[in-house]
This record gives sequence, structure tokens and C-alpha cells, in this order.
Amino acid sequence: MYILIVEDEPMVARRLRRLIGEVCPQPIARLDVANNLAAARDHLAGREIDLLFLDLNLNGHDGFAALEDSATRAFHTVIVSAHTDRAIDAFEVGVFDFISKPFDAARLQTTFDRLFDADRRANPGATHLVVQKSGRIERVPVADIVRIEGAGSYARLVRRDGSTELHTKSLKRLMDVLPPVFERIHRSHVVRMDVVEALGVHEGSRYDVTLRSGETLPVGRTRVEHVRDRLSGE
Amino acid sequence: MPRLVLLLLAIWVGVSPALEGRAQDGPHPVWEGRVQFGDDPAWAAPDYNDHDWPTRRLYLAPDTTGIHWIRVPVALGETAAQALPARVELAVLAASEVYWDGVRIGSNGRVGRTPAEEVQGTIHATFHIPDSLYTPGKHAIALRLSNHAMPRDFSYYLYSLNVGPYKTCTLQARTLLPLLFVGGFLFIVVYCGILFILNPKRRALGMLALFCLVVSLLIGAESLRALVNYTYGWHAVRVHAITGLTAAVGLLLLAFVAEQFDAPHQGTVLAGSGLAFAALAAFVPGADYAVMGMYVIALGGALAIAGWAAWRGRRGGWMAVGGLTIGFLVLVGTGFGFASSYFSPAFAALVVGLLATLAVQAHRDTERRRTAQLRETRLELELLKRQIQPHFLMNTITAAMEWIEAEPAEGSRFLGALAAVLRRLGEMSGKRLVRVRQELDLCRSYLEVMSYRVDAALTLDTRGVDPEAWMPPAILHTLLENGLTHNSYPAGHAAVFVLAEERLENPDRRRYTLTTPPGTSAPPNTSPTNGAARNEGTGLRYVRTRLEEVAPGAWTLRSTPDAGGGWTTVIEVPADLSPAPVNPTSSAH
Repeated sequence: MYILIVEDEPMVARRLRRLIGEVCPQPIARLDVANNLAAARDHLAGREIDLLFLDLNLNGHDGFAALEDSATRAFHTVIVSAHTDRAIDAFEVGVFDFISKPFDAARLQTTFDRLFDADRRANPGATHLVVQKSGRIERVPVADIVRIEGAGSYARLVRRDGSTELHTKSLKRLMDVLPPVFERIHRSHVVRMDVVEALGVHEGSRYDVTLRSGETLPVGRTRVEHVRDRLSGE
Repeated sequence: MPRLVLLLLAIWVGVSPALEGRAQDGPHPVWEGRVQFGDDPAWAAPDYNDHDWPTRRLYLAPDTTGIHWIRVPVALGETAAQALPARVELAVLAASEVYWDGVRIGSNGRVGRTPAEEVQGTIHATFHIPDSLYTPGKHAIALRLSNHAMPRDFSYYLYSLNVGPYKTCTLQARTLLPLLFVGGFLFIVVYCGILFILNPKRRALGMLALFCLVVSLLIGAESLRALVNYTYGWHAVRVHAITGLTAAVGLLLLAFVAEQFDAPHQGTVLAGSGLAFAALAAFVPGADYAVMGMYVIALGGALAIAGWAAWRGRRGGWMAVGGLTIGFLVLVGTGFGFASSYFSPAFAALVVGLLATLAVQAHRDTERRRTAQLRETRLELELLKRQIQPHFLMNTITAAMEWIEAEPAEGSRFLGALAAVLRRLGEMSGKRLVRVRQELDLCRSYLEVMSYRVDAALTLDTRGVDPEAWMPPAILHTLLENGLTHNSYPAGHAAVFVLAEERLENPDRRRYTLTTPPGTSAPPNTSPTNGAARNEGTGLRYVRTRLEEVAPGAWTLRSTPDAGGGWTTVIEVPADLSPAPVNPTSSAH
């Protein structure tokens, strides 16, 4: 696991580094600290990381632009900030967690628990997904997304008007930040449950759902029961 | 505008004699008669042939003093009997005996050949005409007079000679109107006087109180003739008093308006008006003309100043113009009647206008004071916010937790330094100025906290700094905070901030130069986002507002980057800042 800390306060960075080392349940292959955004960009350009701890206020500069930038990426972002009033903004663009300063080992433990156990996700869900589109950062309202398709290590967001956007996060990581109305119905499909009309059973135990648009999507066998429960309102 | 003034003057000249006539007593005012010096009982007879006596305007003073006679014919209409009882009303600066058709109907004082022999009459006297003598047809009034007590330089003599029924006597009635206003003027004297005593800086209030007091005295002096029937020798005293009081009213009016609107050349205007008043009193024959001239100068001058103020957009300027215009028009409209009867209602209107002006300015002062209080409160909050600003406090606490867990002894020292910062900021709250040494203590505690936070040795050196001087609270602290926010100092290194003071002469000022050392790993050259610009702006704005509060318009602040990456901030303030209380009204000009 590769973790990057972006924090300009040396003692806070030191504390994060020490506590992460104590509580991270997986072996850490590498843990770097960048004390400003330029150094952070250098780190991110070279290699793919798994988890970013980001301070929103770096040398008097607002880290929110950096946050939007990181939200388009495949890795999860955890904000570490003294400004708790920014938490809602941060969750809106799909951060994985928001740790307010000061923090202790137990608080970091919670973050890692959530990361490795999908059932313990507790954030309110993103209202936007941030995508890179021809070099620009664009926010796609989650309310406008009907379904998401896996495309290798990327994900294709399908909007209500049928247009699509590519996101660098995997389906699994997107599911970590999306609100509960989204359901993983197949290895390669996530769908908004409130646009599903019916669950169909076909020969050879093949299952699919029909959306309001008339589209049909396959449902994985292991997920059929769950989908049925949600459709029947349980 | 000049044409309008000319027109008004023309109207005045045309109208005022008519008004004057109307304002005089009774249905049979007498203005002309035959006058002869000497004394002969035969001159009382109705049929005495006085054709060789010179005819004179009776109100003009005779050329000499001594016993003299005045004879005037009176013609009564067919309805004379219906007007009974009737009287002769006489106001003259003399002792008198009055004959109606040769019959002595009364005397006022005792007519005498010498001053010793004469007993002064009262200024005003009424003589009953026997009903049997008051018949339709021609009659003759003969007055035997002696005027030894009359002042020589006095040009007026006979103020009224009226024949007619008692009920037409209007002297007291005409006095009633001005007297009605005295109560109002005296109320303003008390009200404005108390306000002035409570706030002596508002000189306009004192002037208005004095103005109303002198106006009341003037009304009293004007009314004295009707209220107290003094002997005629006192008349000159009263007239001189009226002239003097009118001059005082005029000067006070001009001074009030000039003060109220902060007019330029106030001294020149007042001295010039004073000289003009003195010249009028000294050289114009007839006190009425001098008084009239004074009113014209005072009201005209005050109107000019108020007009200038209104044109310059001064608050309350138009109200003063309104009040003064009413006063001026009444003066122009009533002519000589102004001084005796109409000036008090006119001045009442004027004083209402001036009071409105004062009220408007008082309102503005209150507003100003409130703004100053609001600014003070805002700065106070700003200072308090520094103590609980989340970026500072939460990062500090997080760093403290790390120190406590890693090196408990250092952690405890760190918390001690944090406590010192909070305590020192707390001590400064509510103060406009603190000693430089207090500020340096705060800065050193703050740098100690920051040293723990960045794990580097940050220190403050001072050069030539007077620790007992005064400066607004937390301004160096704010500048250090700015410097540390926008620079990073690597762990394990040392950085020295330097504060130097220079004393400048002419004017006596202190120049503080704060040098922020360059961070050895400077932050990336990214443009600050709005948030950062806002933070930096708040810090510098706080410093500027604090400086403006204690030295309005008399401070400078420059903050420039050094070639090496540090910052230099230069502040200049007056050398003698001290925490004397300021009055927001006095500093607002």
C-alpha cells in the first residue's frame, strides 16, 4: 500500500505518519510526506498511490482546488483539516473521509476500518463526481447519473440523457463514496435503484433488470437476492 | 438673485411707510404741529392765532431744551359722541401739561423753567377728555412741555399723540405678541444651555442659548415702554440698550451660523460686522435706522453663510436657509415695524430652523459615534478571533498532542507557551493601545509556539526598540503570523525575525521595520487562491484599521518582498501615541 501525506505543518505530518504506521492493517509499501502542492504533484505524477491524506490549508493557500483534482483520481482522498466547516463541501465531491484536527490514533483507525470494510461506510455520499474532461475538471451531479459501467480499471458514468463520462476510479472505489441509492448489481454494473422497473428471470438462471429507459442490464447471481430485497422495499 | 433683492427692497420701501402708519396708535395720529419756544398761558386758548409759529414734524427732537408749546388742530366727525369716553394719548420725552380747547385736562410730571424745577413725566401718559368737550367739529390741543432731561444727541422726541376713544389704545396689545415668544426663547436657553454644559465642545449650542437669551432681553427691552411707564429720562438708556442688544443678537447669529457650518474667515466676518454695527450706532441719526441696518447686515450675512453651506452640501444648510429667509422676508416686509413687533415671531421661525440644523448635526454625530463604536467592537472581535482561529488553534493542539505523546516534557512546555499567547492576547482585548514590551512578549510567546509547531528555532531580535512606547494591540503579532503563514521554515533550523525602531524628527515619528527571514524551502510559486488572499487581506486590514483608529491619517504601512524571499514591513506612526480617550466627534473632522 502506498500512502501520501500532503501537510505543511511538520509536527502534524509527523503525527500522521506515526499514527498511520500504528493503525494501518495492511503492510505499507511506502509512506511519503509532501509539505506543499508542488511537491505533492511530483509524487502523484510518478506513481499511482492508494490513499492520500490532504490538508486543505497549505501555506495559506486553499487546498480545495487540489482536492477537486485528487477527487478525479483513482485513489481515495482523506481530508485532514482544522476547518470542519469544509467537511460538507469535501464530501460533496466524493472524498472518502474527513478527519478534523486535532485527531488521535482511534480516529485514524476508523478511517482504515471504513476503507477495508464496505459495511462500515458512514459518509453521507457524494453529491458530485469529479471527472477530468479534455484537461479540465468537471463536476457531474450524482443525481444525473443513472448507472455506471466498469471499463477495465476505469468506470463509465451514464447520465440521464444517455451521454457518458469516464472516471479513473474503479467501480469499487466509486461505490465507497456514492450514496446508498446506488447498488452494485453485477461485476461490471452499478445502477441507481430508483430507475429500475423490474427484475427479470430467464432460462439458465440468467437475471436482468429493466430500467425506465427500456435498457436491460445483467444481474450477477450472487447479487440477485439483494436486488430483489431492495426492489420489494425490504 | 441681486435683482430679487432689489425687488424686495423696492417693495419694502413702498410698503413699509403704510405698515408703519397702520402700526401707529389710534384713529387720529398726529404727526405735524406748530411749535413755539417760550411760555404764555394764552397759548392754550383754542382760538389763539398761531400762524406765525413754525410747523414741525413732531417726532423730531427740538433744537434746544426748555419750555415750549405745541399746538395741533383736531377735527372730530359727526359720530364723535358715540366714541365716548375719549382721551389724548401722549408719549413724548418731556414733562407735559395738556389743554383741550383751552381747558387743562391733565399733566405728566411738572413743566419747569430749569432742570431743577422740572419733574420728569413718564414716557407714556393718557389724559381724559371731558365728555362735554368731545363734540363734533374743530378743536385745538395745546401741549405745554419742558424737556430738560432729554439727551442732546437724541433725534427722536414725540413718539405718539393720539386722540380718540380709550379702546383704540393698542400699545400693550402690540407688546403681547413678542412677549408670548419669550417663554419659548427662554426654554431654548435652558435646554441648549444644559446640553452645552454637558458637552462644551459643541459651541454652537452655547451660542444658540446665548442668542436666545439676548433675544429675550431684547424683547424685554422693546416691551419695557408698554410694561413699565418709566420717566422719559430713562428712554435714551432703553434705546441704547436696544441698539446694543440688537448688535449682540446680530453678532451671535452670525457667529452661530459660521460656527455651525464651519465657515471660513469667521474672525474677519465677525470683526467686520462688529465694526459695521458700531458705525451704524455711532453715525446713523435715529436708533431705529441703526437697528434696522444691523438686522439687515446680520440676517443678510447669516443667510449668505447658510446659503454657502447649503451650496457646499453641508447638512442642515437648507434648513438654516429656510429659517433665515423667513426672518429676512419678515424684516423686508415689515420695515420699522420689525424691531418693535415682528422680529420675535421672525426670530422664532429662524430659531426653529437653526434648532433643526442642530438636530440634524446631533443626529450625524450620534451616527458617527455609533460607527466608531462599531469599529471598536469589530476590532475587538477580530482580536478575540485570533485566539480561537481554527487554523492556529487546531494545528497547535494537534502538534501539542504529538509532542506530548512523543516527548512529554517538551509537550508540556509547548502548552505553557500556548497558554502565554492566549493570556497575552486576552490581556490586550478591549485596549486601543498597549506598551511595545507587551506586544514583544506576545510575539515571543507566539514564536515559541510556532517553533514547537514547525520544530525549528524561531526567534525575535529587537534593535533600538523603546519598550515603553505605545502601539495598537497584536499588530506585530499579526504581521509575524502573516509571515509564517506564507513561508515555511524547515525543521531543525533557526530563523530570526528582526524588529528595528528609528526615531524620525519633524514631525516626531517612530518607524518600525519588521524583517521576516526567507524560508529556506520557500513554498511553491503558485498564485494564492481566493481563500489565501482573503486571509492575508484580513491580517493587513486588521493592522491598518488599528493604526487608523489611534492615529487617523497619520500613519503609513508598507509591506514588500525582499530579493532573498523574506518580507520587510515598515510602519510609521506618531511618536507620542498614548491611550488618552478619544472623542469620536472631535476626531471625525
